[in-house]
Amino acid sequence: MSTSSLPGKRSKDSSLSKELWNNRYLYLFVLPGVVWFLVFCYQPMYGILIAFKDYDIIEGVMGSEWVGLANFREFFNSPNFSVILTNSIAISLLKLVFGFPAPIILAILLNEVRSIVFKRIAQTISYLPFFVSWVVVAGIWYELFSTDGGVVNQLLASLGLIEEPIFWFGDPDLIWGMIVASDVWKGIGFGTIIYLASIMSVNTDLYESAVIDGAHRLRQIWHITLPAIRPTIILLFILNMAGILDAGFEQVYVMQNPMLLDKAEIIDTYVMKMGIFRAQYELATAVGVFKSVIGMIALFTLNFLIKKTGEEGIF
Amino acid sequence: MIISRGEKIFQGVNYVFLTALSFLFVYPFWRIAALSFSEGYEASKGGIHFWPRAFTWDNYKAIFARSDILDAYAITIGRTLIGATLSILLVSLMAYGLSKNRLRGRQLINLMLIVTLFFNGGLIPTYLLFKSLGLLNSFWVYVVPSLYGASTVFIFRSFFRALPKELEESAHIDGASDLTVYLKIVVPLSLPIFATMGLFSAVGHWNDYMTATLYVTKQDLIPVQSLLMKILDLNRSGKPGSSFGMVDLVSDTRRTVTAQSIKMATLVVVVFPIMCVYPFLQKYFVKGVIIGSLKG
Repeated sequence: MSTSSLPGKRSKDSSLSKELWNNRYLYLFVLPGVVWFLVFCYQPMYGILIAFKDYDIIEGVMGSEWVGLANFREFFNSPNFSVILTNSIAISLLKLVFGFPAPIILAILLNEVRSIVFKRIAQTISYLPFFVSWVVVAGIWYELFSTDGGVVNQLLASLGLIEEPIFWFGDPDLIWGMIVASDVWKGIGFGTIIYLASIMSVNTDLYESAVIDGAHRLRQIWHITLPAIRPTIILLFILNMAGILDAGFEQVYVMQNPMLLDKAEIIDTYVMKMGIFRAQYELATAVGVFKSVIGMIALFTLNFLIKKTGEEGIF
Repeated sequence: MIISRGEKIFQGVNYVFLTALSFLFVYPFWRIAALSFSEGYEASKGGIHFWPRAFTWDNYKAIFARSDILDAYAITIGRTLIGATLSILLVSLMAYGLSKNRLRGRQLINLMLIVTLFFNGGLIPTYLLFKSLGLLNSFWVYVVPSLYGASTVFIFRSFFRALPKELEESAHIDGASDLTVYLKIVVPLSLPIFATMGLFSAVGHWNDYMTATLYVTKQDLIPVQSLLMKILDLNRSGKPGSSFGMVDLVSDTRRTVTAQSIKMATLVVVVFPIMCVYPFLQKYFVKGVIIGSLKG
């Protein structure tokens, strides 16, 4: 390091090259990252152009012929379109309805616990499933819900609620429920962390004076805790809406099987199969672009509407 | 303080509810472990809920006798160590550079990173890029595409910005270069953030299933998650053991092992390392999530 003629001294000389030389390590630190982002993030953005082309792998992105919106038209007119769109929106909305309030409720209940030890243990346990992969979650749930000795079917049978075991992961009518339930199970603990953190930041004086005023627990939750976490709720809600067509790529792919495709084929899994397994690149890219555009529209619309009501948006 | 009766009931119900909920999070894992230590043939008779029946290590012996498990384990351990180490090193260097106002073009680079939080090229353009870079069916597809991430850079950067400036400044006056300052002063002061982000990155690598699904078809390159998925799918397709040599496997381990008991043991083997780092994860976890959500 001492081989340089200017060992790190802050030179008063303002010439650019000298300044650059003095800071040469900083530039070296940043350079590989800049190259990486250009290659792995920006090159694929440029690759989106093939959605509007008749992609020829030899000609490349630039050399291929423009076809306008033909790929999009082909997707909209295909019989798969309505099934896939319905599944994606339905699963994502069901996840929103059940999965979004769940961590808020859990955070409030945890916050009400007096014993700090109990609270910590319960919280620690709740995010255990978050750290395992979807493949593992699927494996665990298949076992719990299996028709052959699964705990759930056994329990229901011994309570006399069912006569035949239910094929939970094989029945198209049940798969949305299983996807949503396992999503809540895996994610609820993770979700509570942010809410608990914003509840903790509430000034404890507020609760004390509420107690003096004779407000009971539910009133305290309603008038102090909920308003305190409202900005967090709104922020996460807007971000969730941007993913209105994200039904959960990895999860759904892991849990689907050929019998369930009418209910469990979603945009992402369709793009993957069509694009990668069947090499219909331009069509699959068009479907992906369609999804991103809808997500963007949802994000901006909701952000606009929420700002209209006087709340703070995300931008 | 006087506690009303309603309040007492609320507290009681709350404790019962949270205890029941905790049970729902833990029990499924417990049950898998109990089944994995039971003789497969016994387990298939049902009724194993909390403790193994006919305790045995056979299921584990059976899976570790297979070369595909060992190969997949080697791939996963290799990518986790190499991927997490390289990623943390490179991201922290970049973040350190960006934390200095002396760096020209800093704002432009920041903007370049922020854009990637909102836009991406999507699956197919990314796939075609990997194809042209020769990353398909290469070990490096597990490492290189996940080296950087804008939010990780920002988390490191805000940590570095909050470090006391005096040490760095006096080192510079003594003639130390930025590299020396980074290695001798910044890294030792930032060990908590290195540990946190390193663990997250490692868990991400360990759990990653989609990369192999999308970009790897060579069977000797698949990670444990993909192998687990293959094993889980065995019976569901209705052809037990056909493509997977399960038949040989059952015959050479005294027939106590079943496809189901193999699944249970494989699940445990895949989850076990996560459970080992879990105490550390959860120690840093809350902090990491909160920093991430504030900056992101």
